[in-house]
Amino acid sequence: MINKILNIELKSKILFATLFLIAGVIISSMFLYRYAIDIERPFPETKQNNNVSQNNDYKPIVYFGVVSRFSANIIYNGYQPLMDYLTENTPYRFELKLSNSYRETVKQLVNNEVSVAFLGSFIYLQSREKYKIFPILKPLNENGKPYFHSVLITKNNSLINSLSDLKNKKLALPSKQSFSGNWLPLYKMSTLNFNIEDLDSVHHFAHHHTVIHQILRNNFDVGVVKDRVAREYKNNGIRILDYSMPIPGSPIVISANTEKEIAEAIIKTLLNVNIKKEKNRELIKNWDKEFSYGFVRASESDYDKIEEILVEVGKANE
Amino acid sequence: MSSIKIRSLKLKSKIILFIGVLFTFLMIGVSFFMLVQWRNLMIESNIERAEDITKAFSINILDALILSESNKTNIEDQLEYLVRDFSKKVNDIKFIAVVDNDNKIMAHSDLSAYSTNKGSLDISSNKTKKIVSAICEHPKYEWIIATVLPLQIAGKRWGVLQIGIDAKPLLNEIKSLFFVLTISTILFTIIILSIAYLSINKITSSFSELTNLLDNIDFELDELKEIPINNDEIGFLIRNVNALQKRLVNSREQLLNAQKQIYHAEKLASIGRLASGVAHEINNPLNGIKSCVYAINKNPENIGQNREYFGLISEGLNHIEMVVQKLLGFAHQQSQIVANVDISEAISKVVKLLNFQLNRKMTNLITNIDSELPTIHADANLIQEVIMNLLLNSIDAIDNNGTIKIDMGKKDDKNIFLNIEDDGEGIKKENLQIIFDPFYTSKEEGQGTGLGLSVSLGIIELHGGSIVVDSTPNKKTIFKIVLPIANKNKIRT
Repeated sequence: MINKILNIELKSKILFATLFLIAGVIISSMFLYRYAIDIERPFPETKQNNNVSQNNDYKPIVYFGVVSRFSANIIYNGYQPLMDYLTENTPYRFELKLSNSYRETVKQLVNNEVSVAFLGSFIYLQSREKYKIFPILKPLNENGKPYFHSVLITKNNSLINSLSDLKNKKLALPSKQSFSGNWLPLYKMSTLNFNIEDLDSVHHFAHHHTVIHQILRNNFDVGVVKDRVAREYKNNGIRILDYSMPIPGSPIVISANTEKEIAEAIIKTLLNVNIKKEKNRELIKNWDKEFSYGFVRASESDYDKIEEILVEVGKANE
Repeated sequence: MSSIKIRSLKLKSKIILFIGVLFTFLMIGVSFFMLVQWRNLMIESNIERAEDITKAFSINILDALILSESNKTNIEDQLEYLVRDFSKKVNDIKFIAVVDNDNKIMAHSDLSAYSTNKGSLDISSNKTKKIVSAICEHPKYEWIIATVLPLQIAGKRWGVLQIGIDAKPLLNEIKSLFFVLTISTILFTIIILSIAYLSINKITSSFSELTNLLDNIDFELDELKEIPINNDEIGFLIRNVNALQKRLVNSREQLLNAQKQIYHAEKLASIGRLASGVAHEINNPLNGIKSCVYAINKNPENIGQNREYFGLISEGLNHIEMVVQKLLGFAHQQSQIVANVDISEAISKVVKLLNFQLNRKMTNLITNIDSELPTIHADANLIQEVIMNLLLNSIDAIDNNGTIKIDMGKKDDKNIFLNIEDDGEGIKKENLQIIFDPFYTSKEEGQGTGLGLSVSLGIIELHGGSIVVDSTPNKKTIFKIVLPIANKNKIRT
């Protein structure tokens, strides 16, 4: 009898414990279910550290023109950081103003749509007399010299090894207003007694990068671009056949109407960029590669020699 | 046995309950941890996908915005086209919005949004400087993964791109995952608990076997019941129990031997107490024989007289022979025979042996025996010894002309009773509790061993019966014996 009672008591306890366990599992499962399906995730807190940019918003805007040597997005990616640097370090807010051609930028400068502009050396020489524009700065190359080169390029696997192999070949060139667009046909060929008619065809494209892409796509056999652009593709199927003589770097130009304070602010700020300093190296990391080595003051006379050369071939002042 | 089994059951239940609770909650914990990790991975993966979609699409938007800087084209139209085209291509996109720096819509895939002229998300997210994402329940688009990407190149910022991607499939997937994991957990838990139950059952079966062994120890058996002995703690316990059982059997054998010796000693003591009566029984015929021999010697030629004397001598010798045979029979009785015993016959035999003692005290012996009394299954000699002890005590207790009453009958369907009552001096109340103790005696030194009642109690209990005493000093004393009728239980000797 006692055993029976004990058995019943034991069974009741087991039953109670089992029910308690099941109830616990169900209740905990309900809580876990609610927690598990809670997928709500808020936006992260936006840090309000906009004092600097808010101050910049109130600065007077200075428009900075750029010749269309590259496509718009390449220009924004390479030139906008430089604009930001100038905005941070001058009393002005600099904004880029793009154009569809080299000449349009010159017109923007002359028409006071922009106060300052990145021009090419060739278009500057073409325009300086006519529009009274003045170079204030020019970029340095990797050797610390204020020059660049135009280079003759072809594909790595091309059979072309010298200018003599260009006969009946297709030539791609950048803008007619750029030095690279004129160096080979106007200067180099004339020195080698090679006529442009000896080529199969010649075509000018809007941007330097387009020239390279056309060669890589086998649409053209050779092309001419700035050395800074050719270096980007050095390990990507492009090899350099020939270099131009050193050309004074593409100048930053102001017009006669540009405020002196703006020009001085730009000159002072960009000359302060010392690439030997770690801080500045980090700063210019995102700048266009043409500006990676800093700037040096530019004067009109810097470009006289190249102008003379061009005049010699009778084309410079066309 | 049952209590041991219950204890074993409790132990098993406790182990299973403990393992069950522990494992169940452990499984829930592990499953939930896996579920949360899995869910977070799914959320991260979906957010990553949403951000990749947004980044990829932002290239088109940025190109259009940059292009508009130089071409002066109608950027809104261009963006509108891009947004609507892209939202058609990616099925789970709920909306795409391009919002300018003043939180005004530049383009939106949902034309109804133009009425509000603001983006579809909280404008605070528009201030972000990097891509950010959220999962929220939108009042219009329900559950969405919302991604906001600044349309910006360096310091140049046109606004933000907002994309809302349907998050319901993600939610449903997580719900399904929860149910799959829950069912898996339940099934896995049941399987593991079943395995645990079987394992524990196997382990505790050794305990059960040990319990059964202990419960069924038969001290009559020389050989122990064999059970498989494993080389573990339980096996060690079983080996020790076996050794204990052997020791118990030996002890019981020694105890039985000692008991036999006590019975024998007590019997010899009873014979001593019978000695005077026996002597008288022998002396009387001897004196008659002696007288007959003297008369024969005196007149040997009287053949007729001598023949009569020879008859008397023969009768006397027969009487002596009968007395001696009875005495020898009682003295040599061995407690080994178990059979159906007519207890009235046993009483009659004992009364005949005590005839002299009864007569000497002119005892008034009253016997009241039911003639229809059933037999009992017993050792007749042991039962006689009990009756002998009780009657001798009664004879000692009564005065001359005292009364001894023997009542015997059926108590109920299973038992008979035997009451032996005398009107002697009786037993003091304080001694009633100890009279069955060994070596207790109220007689003078040398008159008794003190083992008579103790032995009687042992014999009655051996037969599955009981004996109690009730006494009123100087009035009456009654020993009440109850014995089972034809008890089929084996009587251990």
